[in-house]
Formats: sequence, structure tokens, C-alpha cells
Amino acid sequence: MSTEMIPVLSAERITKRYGKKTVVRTASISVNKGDLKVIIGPSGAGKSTLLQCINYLVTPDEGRILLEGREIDPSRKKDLYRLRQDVGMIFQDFNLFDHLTAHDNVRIALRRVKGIDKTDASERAVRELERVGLLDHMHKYPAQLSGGQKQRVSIARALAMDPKIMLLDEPTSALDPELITEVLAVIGDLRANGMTMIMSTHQISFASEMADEFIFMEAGIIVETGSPAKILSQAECERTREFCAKINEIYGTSY
Amino acid sequence: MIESLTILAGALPYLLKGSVVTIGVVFGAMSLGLLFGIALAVGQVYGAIWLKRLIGLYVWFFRGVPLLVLLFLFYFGLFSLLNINLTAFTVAVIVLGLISAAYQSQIFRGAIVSLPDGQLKAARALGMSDATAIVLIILPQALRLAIPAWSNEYSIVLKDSAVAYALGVTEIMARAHFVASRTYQHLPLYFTAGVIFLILTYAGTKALRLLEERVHIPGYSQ
Amino acid sequence: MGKRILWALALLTAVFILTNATYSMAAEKIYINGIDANFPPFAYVDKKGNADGFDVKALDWIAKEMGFKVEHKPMDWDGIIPSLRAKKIDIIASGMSITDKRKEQVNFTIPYWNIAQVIVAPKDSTATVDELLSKGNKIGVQRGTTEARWIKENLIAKGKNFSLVEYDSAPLSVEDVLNGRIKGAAMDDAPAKDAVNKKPVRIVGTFGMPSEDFGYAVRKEDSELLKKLDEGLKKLMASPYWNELKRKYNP
Ligand SMILES: Nc1ncnc2c1ncn2[C@@H]1O[C@H](COP(=O)(O)OP(=O)(O)OP(=O)(O)O)[C@@H](O)[C@H]1O
Ligand SMILES: [Mg+2]
Repeated sequence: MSTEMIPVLSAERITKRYGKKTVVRTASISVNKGDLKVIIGPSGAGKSTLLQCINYLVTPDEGRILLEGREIDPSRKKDLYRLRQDVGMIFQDFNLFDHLTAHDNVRIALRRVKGIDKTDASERAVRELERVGLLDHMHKYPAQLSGGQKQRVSIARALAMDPKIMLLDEPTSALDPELITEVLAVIGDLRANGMTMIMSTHQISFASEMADEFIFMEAGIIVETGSPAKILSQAECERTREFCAKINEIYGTSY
Repeated sequence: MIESLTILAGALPYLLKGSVVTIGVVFGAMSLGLLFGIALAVGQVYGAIWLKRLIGLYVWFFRGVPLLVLLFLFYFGLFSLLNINLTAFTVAVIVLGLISAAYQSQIFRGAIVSLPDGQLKAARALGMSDATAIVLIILPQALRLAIPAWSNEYSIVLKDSAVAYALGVTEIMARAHFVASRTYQHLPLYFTAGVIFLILTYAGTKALRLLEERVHIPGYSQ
Repeated sequence: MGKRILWALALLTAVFILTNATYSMAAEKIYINGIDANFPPFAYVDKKGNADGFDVKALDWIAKEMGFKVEHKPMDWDGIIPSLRAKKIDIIASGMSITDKRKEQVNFTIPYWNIAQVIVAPKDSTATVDELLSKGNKIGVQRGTTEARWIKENLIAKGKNFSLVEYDSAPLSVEDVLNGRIKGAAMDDAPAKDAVNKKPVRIVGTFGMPSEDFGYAVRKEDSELLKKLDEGLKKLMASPYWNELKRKYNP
């Protein structure tokens, strides 16, 4: 088997229960290098939970995660921290460290997780902030930044760790409409540079232009997967069609 | 009146030396309470269930038993039984510190749980261990939030420190009392002691207010 | 910055506790005398903050005579016997009355002073002792003293109609007499005389409590020290310094 055949990441038969409620049920996703897979589905479908199971921010009850073909044993702390460094995560509400400047937000994990020395970490952080167009704002604190700028800082923070894959959980949902574009532009850039990504989003039209595959999820189950065109216009499943119709109504086709 | 003033003037250096003792007790107790209180708070928020219970028990005990009882219990009881010969001053610092740790832990716990979940999540997502995340991300924010309540705790410990005389720590109040017993100028002396306490309260809370301003996160509303 | 401060604090605290824990390793034994510094003229703190008083100076003389070192440490009267037993202090030479109850816990030297207990009232009052100790009056007393105990057991428990208010020290009770909050205060005659010299109060008289003897208290097991103190006291009382002390402090 050649290395290209091994997916960057596979999540196999992930199940997560909260009490009696099964929030994710035997969901499997596998992503090849450079792929962008987009998870769509109604609110409460389990998209966030599934994404967080991938880097064990939420511990799945069943299933396993393989990074470049190697199974992760989450009980081994070293494995776990390694996995999380290799998997960048972008949250809906940014989760920037409120007490640190943009620059320090990007730099802190380089210094304290990767152990990179101060000057190198600083330079790297500056480069990542430049890449998301925030060089002028690097000394500002999160509370001094707009939502779009915060999300771009969080992308820079994740990128600085040299992740093998990025998980983006509704990266634009918390943004005012006029700020969405700047974040989508950054994501488009990542895509163009070959970053491997899984993203959950309601930005269907934007996603359909870039995604390799759509994954439709509902009630914890992956109902259907396929190319964006197929899911949006010729979905096999009735529920998928209904959802896509509704989403077009709400969000329109422009982004 | 004149007589009172001359007596007061004569006694002032002696009283002020007492305030050095008071400051020592309070500084020691607050420091011990800070360090131990942080540890307790972290344990209570992030620890295993048995640890949470144990800390709950600790807090319950030290908040529930009167200060004087604890002072005697430690001074005449525990340390004597263990044959550890500590000075009254040290025991006062330790006991006031352990009590303050119980109160401070609740201040810090409140501050920690008031932080959004996302902070710890984001730190973990970057590959930080929980310990690193707590030290680098959680505590710096929680401690900032805790300053106003901490300042309140300072004035409480300051006032409580007067009870240390029960062990023979000659702080401000004890000294005022000694001089009054000799001179029968109780009122002016207690008044002066009160003023010294007020000044110490003011200076401490003022310093903490300045600290709060200094470490305030730009753009963050109060 | 914050973390450096925390580390510094941790270090300071540790050093502080360690140095204090080994504090007692001092080379030469210095006996600590616990005093009630609110008990003039037997024990108090002078203008400079040093221990002074009849008992303090007497013990200083004895220590010199008998060849040991002594330091005086002001203590809360309530906790003074526990402090002695817990070895926080070694001697109590501070106007302590010898009683059977106390003898269960400590050993006393030979008596060196006989003291009567009296009631103090405002100078302008005309009340007698009997009038003061009736009509539901409030009478002050220092907490933890023999007179407090005796009054409870022999007057109040036997139906006398007045109540006791307890204070941290005799002078504080005198202040409250002058404030009018209590009608009179019971105390040893020496501090009463001191109060009369300084405040508009008078000694009304004794109230039936048998006079008591003062002695120095030591731990039961410290028989060596007790012997030294007994011998020293005898020497002191035979020396001219004894009369000098009496003249100076006028107890
Ligand atoms: N910690 C938790 N405890 C209990 N239930 C939870 C927890 N986290 C999530 N859930 C439940 O799991 C279900 C899936 O939640 P999840 O956040 O994964 O959905 P989602 O698809 O991301 O929705 P959205 O589009 O609103 O973000 C929801 O019904 C939610 O209430
Ligand atoms: Mg979600």
C-alpha cells in the first residue's frame, strides 16, 4: 500500500451517548490528504459532538480514531496531546484566550506545547498572523477585535501548530453577515494551499463550491454522503432533500 | 485632653511596632491562603470526586469552627502533640492562613467556573495538558476576576488578626490594651488602634485596586 | 509576572515556616515568663513597650541571683495556664493566686504576697458593698480570675441578686464602672489601688472572699526550676531590694 492511500484521518464507528440519549451513532468519516469534507445537518444533529470526538475533546463511548493509519490510544496522555497538536480545531465562538494578545494567543502553544524558543515562536506567530491579514492587530486583545478578526486569529493559532488536518466547527455561525466573507476567504486560501479539513457549516453555497464531499447528518446518524452537487440536487434520501431545500430558503444561495 | 495626647504620642511608636506584627501576620496568612486556596480551588473544580469531597470537608471545617477555637486547637493541641515547637506568631499565621485558604478557595472556584468552557477546550485542542492549561490559561484569568473579592478577604483577615493575641501575639489591639491598662486611657487608645486598622485596610484595598487596574485586560469590560 | 510572584510567595512561606520550626534550637535555655500585661502594678508594659512591674522586676532579680536567664512575654490571661502546660512559657510570675484548683494543673512556689479582693465603685457613689451586690446590679470582673470563680460559686449560686459581667482585664471593668454600665467591679486590691490613683473611683471594701496568696507557677515536672524559684524568693524577701520594690510599685 502506498502512503497516498492511507487517509490522513479516519474516525471509525464513533458513538457518543449522553445518559440514555445517543448523540452520535456509529458515524465514520475518513479524509484523504488535501480533502475538504463538509458536514451539514440540522441543529442538534451531533455535528459538533462528532468533530470533538475526533480529537477527544469529547470522549467517544465507542469507535476509534486513526491518524495517518495509526490508532490513537487516548488513555496514553502523550498520544492524546500529540493527536491534538496534529489536529487543528476552530470553534464556532472562537475561544481565543481572553487574557492574551493576538500575538500571544498564537505563540503560547508554540512555546509551551512545542517548546519552541521565544524568538522563533514569535516570528512564526507573526507569519501566521500576516497570512490571515492581521499583522496590524497583533498586539490587540480579543476584546478589542471584531468577530471576524477573532476567528482569523484562531485560525492562525491552529495553523501555527502545523496541523495535519483542521476541524472547523461552524466557523462563521457566530459572525455578523458582513464579517463572514473575510473568514471564508481565509478558509478558501487554506483549501487552495492543500490543507486537509473537515468543516461543519450552514454556508451551503460557499461549501458546495469548495467541498470534495458533503456529509449529511441528522439525529446523530450520517444519513448520506456524496458530492455537493449530488447531495444538493439529487439526494437519495428524502430527509436530505428536505433539509437542503430549507437551508436554501433560509440562507439563500449567495454567500 | 493634653494628658491623653502626650500619652498617645508616647505610645504611638509602640503601637506602630504592633502594626508591623499585624502586617506580618496578615501578609503571611494571606500568602499561605492564596497558594493553598488556589490549589484547593483547582482540586475542587477539576479533581476526582473523592478529592472534591475531601476539599469540601476541609472548607466546611475551617469555615465552620470559630477562629479562637482553631487557634487554641492548633497551638495547644495539634502542634504540641506533634512536638512541633512553633512560635505563637507562626501558629497565628498558619491558622489564619488555613482558614483564609478555605474562603479564598471559594473565591477562586467561583472565578474559575465563571470562565467560559471554551477556554479550557481551546487549550486542550492545542495539545496542552490540563495542568498547563490551568496554569497558563485558566488561573491568569480567574485570579484577575478574583481581585475584588480577594480585597474583601484581606480586610476580613486584617480584622481577624487581632484575635491572635489570645496566643500572645502582641499585635496592635493587644498593645493598645496594655497601654490602656497602665494609663487608663482606653478610649483614645482604642480609637488610635481603630485608625491604624482603617489605614491598613485603606492601603491594602487601594494597592489591590491599583493591581486590578494594572492587570486589567484591555477592551474587557468590568 | 503573576507566576513569578506566586513562586516567590511559595518560597517565602516555606522558608518562614521552616525557620520558625527550628527556632527552638537556641543554644542557651532562656526561661519564658508569661505575664498578664494588663495587671498593673504587678505586671504591665512600660512606655517603651518593655515588660515592667513588681513581679517582673522581682523575677529579674531572682534570675540574676540564681544564675538563669529569663524573658517576659505578655499573654492572654485566659490561655496562660494552657500555655504553661504546652511549654509555650515556663513560669507564670504575674500576680497569680494560689488555689487548689490551679494546683491540680501546676505547681506553685512559696507565697510571696497576700492579697485581698475588693469592690471598686465611682468616687461619688455612696453605696455599700451589700447595696452593690443586690438589686439585680451588674458587677464587673476579669474573666478567668479567682474572684470571678469565687463570686459565682459563693454569692450568685447562693442566691445573691446581682449579675457578673466579665472583662478581658480589671482596668477595662473600671472603665465600664465609670461609663455607668456596671455599678462596681471586683478585683485584687493592688490593681484597685492603681485604679484609684488614676481614675475617679474608690475602694468600697471587701466582699467576704478570703484573702489569697500570690505565687509563681511552673509545670508539675519542673521541680528543679521550682526549687530555684523558691530559694530565690526567700533570698529576695530577705534582701533590701524587696522593700525597694514595694516602695516603687506600691502594690
Ligand atoms: N455535554 C452534553 N450533555 C448532554 N447533551 C449534550 C451535550 N453536548 C451536546 N448534547 C446534545 O447532543 C446533541 C448534539 O449536539 P451537537 O452540539 O453535537 O449538535 P450540532 O449538530 O453541532 O448542532 P448545532 O448545529 O446547533 O451546533 C444535542 O441534542 C445536544 O443537546
Ligand atoms: Mg454545533
